[in-house]
Amino acid sequence: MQRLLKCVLLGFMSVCFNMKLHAEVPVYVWTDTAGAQLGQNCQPTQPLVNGLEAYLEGVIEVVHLESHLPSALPLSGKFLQVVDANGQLSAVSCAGNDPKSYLLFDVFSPEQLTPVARLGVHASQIELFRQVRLHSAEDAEVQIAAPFSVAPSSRLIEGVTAIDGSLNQVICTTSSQLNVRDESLNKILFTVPRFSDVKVVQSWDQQDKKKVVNSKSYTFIRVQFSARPTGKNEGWVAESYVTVRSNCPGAVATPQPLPIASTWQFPTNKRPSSNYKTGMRRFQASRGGGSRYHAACDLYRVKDEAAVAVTAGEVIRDKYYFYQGTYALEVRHTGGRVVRYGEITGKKATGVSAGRSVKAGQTIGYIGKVNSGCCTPMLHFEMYSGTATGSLTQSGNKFQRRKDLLDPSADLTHWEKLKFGQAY
Amino acid sequence: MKKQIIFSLFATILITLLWSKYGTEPLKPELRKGKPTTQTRSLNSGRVAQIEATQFKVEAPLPQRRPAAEPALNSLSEMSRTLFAYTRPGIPLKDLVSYLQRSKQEPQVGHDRNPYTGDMAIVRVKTPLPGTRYFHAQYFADSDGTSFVQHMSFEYKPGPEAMRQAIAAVKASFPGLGAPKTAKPDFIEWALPEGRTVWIKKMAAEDLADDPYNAYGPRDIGTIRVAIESDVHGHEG
Repeated sequence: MQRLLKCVLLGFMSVCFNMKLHAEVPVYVWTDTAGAQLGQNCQPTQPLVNGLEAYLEGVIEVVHLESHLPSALPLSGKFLQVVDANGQLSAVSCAGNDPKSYLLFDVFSPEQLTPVARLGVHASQIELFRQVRLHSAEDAEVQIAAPFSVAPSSRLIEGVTAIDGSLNQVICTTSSQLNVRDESLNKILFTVPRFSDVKVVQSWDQQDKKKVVNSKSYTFIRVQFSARPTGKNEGWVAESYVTVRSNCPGAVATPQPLPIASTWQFPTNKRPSSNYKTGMRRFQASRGGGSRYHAACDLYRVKDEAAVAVTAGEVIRDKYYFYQGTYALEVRHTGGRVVRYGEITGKKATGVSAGRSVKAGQTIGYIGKVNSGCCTPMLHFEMYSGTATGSLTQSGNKFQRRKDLLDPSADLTHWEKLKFGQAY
Repeated sequence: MKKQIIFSLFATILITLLWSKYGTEPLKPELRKGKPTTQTRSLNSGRVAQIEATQFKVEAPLPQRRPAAEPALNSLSEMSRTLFAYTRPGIPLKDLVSYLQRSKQEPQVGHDRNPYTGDMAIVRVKTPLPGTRYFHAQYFADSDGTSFVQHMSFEYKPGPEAMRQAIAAVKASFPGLGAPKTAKPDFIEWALPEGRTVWIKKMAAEDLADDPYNAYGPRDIGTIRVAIESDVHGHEG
């Protein structure tokens, strides 16, 4: 969801604030005995909503909170909005407090552009919201995108029947395993578990085979699995058991809550071999004979070295073809910034896929090299503030990028100093 | 008077001849000199090839495949023309899907979306033309909702002549292609208008490793990939 600059017109007072998430904000939880208290060692958990449904959309103005509790975070006069991560609620449980699932809200002060804190509220603590005012988009003149709406639908797939999600395929069976056969279809080579990722082999001249198994006729196709310990990862399976992941019940991973505040760090584990703020590597370097600008900083390193997450976040788009045989991955980080990690190889990093959360410093991909061999292998690092929505690649400006594109040079310099003790 | 009549007759005949040749259009310098109307300039110098919009009509069916001895060559030619025709600005995804259906390639469309970076559509085919495979197209939506192709590619079967055949097919399919931006034995790339690039790569083992969409084995070394992309990086200098 786009986090727009929201302007709340409250009577004669006009308050504008940005609902952008911020990483370095303290997390409080509401306790029954002491009001809002700083959360200790909070970890993401599954949200529990019962009873709080009315407070999940729009902006909550806490007009005056009648509470005798010695709250460490005054809430009267503040504004709250539920934290959402890619359309999912965020919740934490914290050590030292009741091991409850606290639904997270951003806390804003009037006229402040960033949240001052996050507040966890348990579903049973609805009394907290006494004397609050809810502002929907209509009745309070709040220019706000509904927290759980998806981006406005584009004309992208107009007139076409499409499958939800990417076209990655899985083994989809009712049983827990599936036999993979040899070319004769008579010998079973190995078995694979249900929901295994699979790629269909397209031969130059299409062939499939038919075989009757348990008095039922099946069409068999050749498929390939990811590397297996035994070495063999290719064979034949019944076509009916291979389907797009989103069409296979139970195969789609449940999105995880966005991790809470975390530190930021440089996206490679060793210093770049060249200065990323000069030459063709720098942001806004000329491209296309001056017709375009470079939209990233190129961090020269060594092929197949790790590219790591700059901070905690969620993978919002898994690898796609990017440029000359390299790939890109998109991550929305805590604080709302979006980073496109470009020119990485296709190699999958453990635990990294769309909808999965990543920690600061976690390997999210591996540095790649473009086909032309023009230059040193690199991580193409593109960063966006997250205040716009839509495709990162766009027309209409010399960067050919979305309007919230940021120059990452200063941040990279800062993270470089922190990680390596020196910077270009 | 007689001279005037003769001159008048001569002038009338001349005007009629010119009219029948050039109609109502004003005489263009190019026509006078017998030059073609299409102006093609070197892309390498940063200028843009100007191609007559009418040279390729997407709505018209692609030319019939000839019953040649080598069907793979026909497929290569047809898929190269597909890349040219359906990646041009303003051509919607549905036109590509419609063509792929007509050519019985059984297209599948995936709609990958998230609230933060919008929509991406992926088009692949289940039954590629003989000698080609792994067709893959990625569409994104512009800020005004208009779709555009960020990547479209297919593969051509390996062989001693495969790279040369692919280069010839691309040259024939992309009118006004200038000098290549990069040319190596296993890789060639041309710049196109609107910040796009078309390239051909003879794939080595390294290029085949870890593709998230396509399955490969050692038998596939030497496979040719033909791709058109947004020139998102465009290294130079």
